[in-house]
Amino acid sequence: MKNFFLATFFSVFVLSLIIIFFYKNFTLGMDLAGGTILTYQIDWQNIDKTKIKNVLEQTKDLIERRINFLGVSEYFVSFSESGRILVEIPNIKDPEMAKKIIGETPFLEFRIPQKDEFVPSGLTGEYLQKAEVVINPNTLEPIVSLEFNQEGAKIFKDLTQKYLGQPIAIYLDGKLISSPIVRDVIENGKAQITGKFTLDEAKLLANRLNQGALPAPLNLIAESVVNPILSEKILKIALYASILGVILVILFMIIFYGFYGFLADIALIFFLVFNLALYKILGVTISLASLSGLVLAVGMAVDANILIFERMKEEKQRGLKIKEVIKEGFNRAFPSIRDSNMTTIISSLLIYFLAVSFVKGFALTLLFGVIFSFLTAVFFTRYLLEIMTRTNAD
Amino acid sequence: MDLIRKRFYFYFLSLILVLFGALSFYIFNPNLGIDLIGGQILEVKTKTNLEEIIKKLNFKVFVYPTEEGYLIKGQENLNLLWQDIQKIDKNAQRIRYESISPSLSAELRNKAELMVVLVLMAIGTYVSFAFYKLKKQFSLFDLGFIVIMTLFHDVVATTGFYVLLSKFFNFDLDIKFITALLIIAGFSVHDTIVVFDRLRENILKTGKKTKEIFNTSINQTLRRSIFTSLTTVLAILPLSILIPDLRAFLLSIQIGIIIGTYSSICLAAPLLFEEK
Repeated sequence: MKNFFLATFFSVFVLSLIIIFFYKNFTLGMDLAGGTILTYQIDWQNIDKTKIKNVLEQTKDLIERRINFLGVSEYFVSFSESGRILVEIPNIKDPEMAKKIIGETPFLEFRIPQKDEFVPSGLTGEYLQKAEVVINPNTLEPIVSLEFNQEGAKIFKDLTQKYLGQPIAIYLDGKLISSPIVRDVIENGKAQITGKFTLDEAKLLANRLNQGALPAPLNLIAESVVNPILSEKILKIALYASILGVILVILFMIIFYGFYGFLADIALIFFLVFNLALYKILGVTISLASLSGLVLAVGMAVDANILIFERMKEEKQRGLKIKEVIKEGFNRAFPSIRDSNMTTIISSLLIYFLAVSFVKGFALTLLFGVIFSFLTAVFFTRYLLEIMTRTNAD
Repeated sequence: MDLIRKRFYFYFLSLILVLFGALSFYIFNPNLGIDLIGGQILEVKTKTNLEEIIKKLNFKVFVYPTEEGYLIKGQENLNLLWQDIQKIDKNAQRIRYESISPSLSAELRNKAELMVVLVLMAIGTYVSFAFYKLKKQFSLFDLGFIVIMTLFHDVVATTGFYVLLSKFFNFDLDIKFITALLIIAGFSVHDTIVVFDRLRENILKTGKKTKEIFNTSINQTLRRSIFTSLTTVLAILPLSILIPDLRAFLLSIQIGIIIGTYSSICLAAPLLFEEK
C-alpha cells in the first residue's frame, strides 16, 4: 500500500517535470511580459432596452475587426453582458495607437469657406460608402479615395457647384487634412484625400473610415500600460527572489529539524514542481501576484511540518517508540493543520471570486498552494518518514 | 517564561498599538489607491528635470522621484503630460501608466466592501465550529469575544504600521492592502486556535485551570507559533525587498503575521486567563 502511494507520488513528480520542461510555455502576466490592458464600458444611456443584445453583438464584431487590423500576433478580448469589454494586448509598440483604433471612430468632415475660415457643410463620414487607398500615378503618393452614397453624392454635387473655384476643406477628427480648390462640379460622388500620408497611414485611415461608427459610445474606464523592455528585468529579479525565498525556507527546516527537515524539504520541492506543472496545464498566468501567492504558500506549507515535528518531539519525550511517535505526531497535529489551512482556503476562495486583477491572481495560486501543500506536507512527508525509519530500524 | 504574570505590560503595549493604528489616519493622512478613488499613475524613466513642465501644468499632480526618473500621480490628463515629457526628452521611457475612472473605482470599492464582509463572516463561522469542542472548558461567548478582540487588534495595529511606512515609502491604501488584511485575519485566528487547543488539552489532562497551566500551554506552543510565522515571513522576504511593486503588499502581510503571532501568545491566552 505504502509503496503504491510512493510510486504514485514519484510518477506525478516525473510527469510534472516533463510538463514543466516540454509542454508549451508559461503564460506571463502583463506586469512581467509588458503590454496594455484597456477596459471599456458601453454607455447604455441612449440605447433602447430592446436593442441591448444587438448593440453588444455589433460592438463585439467591430472591436474584434479593429483589433485584427492592429496586426498584433496575440491578444485577448473578453465581453460581459453588462457591456464591459476587456482588451489585453501583450508587447504592443504603440499603446496610444491601439487606443485610437479600438475605441474611436475617425470623424470625417467636409467644410466650406466662409469669410476667413472653414465651417461645417453637413457632409460627413456618415454618407460614406467606401474608402480605399490608391496610389497617385504621377507623384506615387498614396491617396485615400472616397465614395459617397447616393445622398452624399447629391450633397457633394451641390457643394462643388456652389463653391466652384473656391477651396473645400477636409477635416479629420477636427484637424485640417487638405483644402483642394474645386475645379469641376463632381456628380459621381467621388472625392480624394491627399494629405502626404505614408502608405500605412493611408491604409489605416481607409480602414477606419470603412468600419464606421460604433453602435453605442464606448468609454475607456481603465487603462494599464507596462513597458515590456523594463519588465524583462523585473521577471528575472522576481524569479531569483522567489527561489531565494524557497531556499531560505529549505535551510530553515534543515537547521532546526535536521533529517526530518530535509524530508519536509523533499516534500516541498515536490509541491513546487507539481504546482508549476498545474499552472501550465490550467493556463494560470505567471505574474508578480501569482508568484507572491505561490511563495507565500511555500512558507505556509512547511507550517504543517513544523506543527508535526514539534508534536513528535513531545511524544518522543514521553518515551514512545519511533513508530508511535510518528503516528501520534501526525494525528495530534492534524486538527491544527486543518484549521490553519481552512481559514486560508476560505479567505482566498472568497477573495478569488470577488476581487479583480492583481488580487485575483494572488488568491488563486495561494488557494492551490494551500490545498496541495496539505497533501504533500502531511501525507507525502509521513510516507517518507515511515519508510526512512523502517530502513533505519532494520 | 511567566507570561501570565507580565500580561499587563502586554495589554498596555497592545492598547498603544491599537490607539496608534486608529489615530494613524489622522496623523499621517495616507494616500488612497487609484483603485479605490480613481485617478492615474505615470512612471517615467528620464534624466531630465521635470519640475519646469509640472509647474506649467494647469492640473494638479503629485511627483515622487524614483531611482531612474519620476512617479507621477494625478486625477487626469497624465497622458498629456507624457506627450509633453517626450517633447523635451526624446529618450524618456514610459515604464508604467495606469488610469482608473471614478465610475470603475466606485464599483471596485463596492466589491472590496462585499469581500471584507463575506470573508470575516466566513472566518467567524469556521471559528465557531472550531471552538465548539472547547465549550466544556470555556464559555463560548468569552472565546468569541477574545478572538474578535485579537483579530481587531491585529488588523488595526497592522494598519498603523502600514500607514506609518506609507509616509516613507509612498505606499497607497488600496485593494491589495485590504486583501492583505483579510489574509492576516485568517492567520490571526489560526494562531489563536493553536494556543486555545493546547489549553484545552492541558486542562483535560490535569483538570485544573491554574496560572501554571496557562503558562505551560503558552510555552509549549511558543516555539511552533513563532516558527510557523517565521517561515512564512522568510519565504516572502526576498520578494518584498527586491520587487518594489510588491513591497507594500508583502510588507503588510509580514507585519500582520508578526503582530498576529504576538497577539495570540501575549494577548489571547492571557485574556482567556482573565475570563476563567
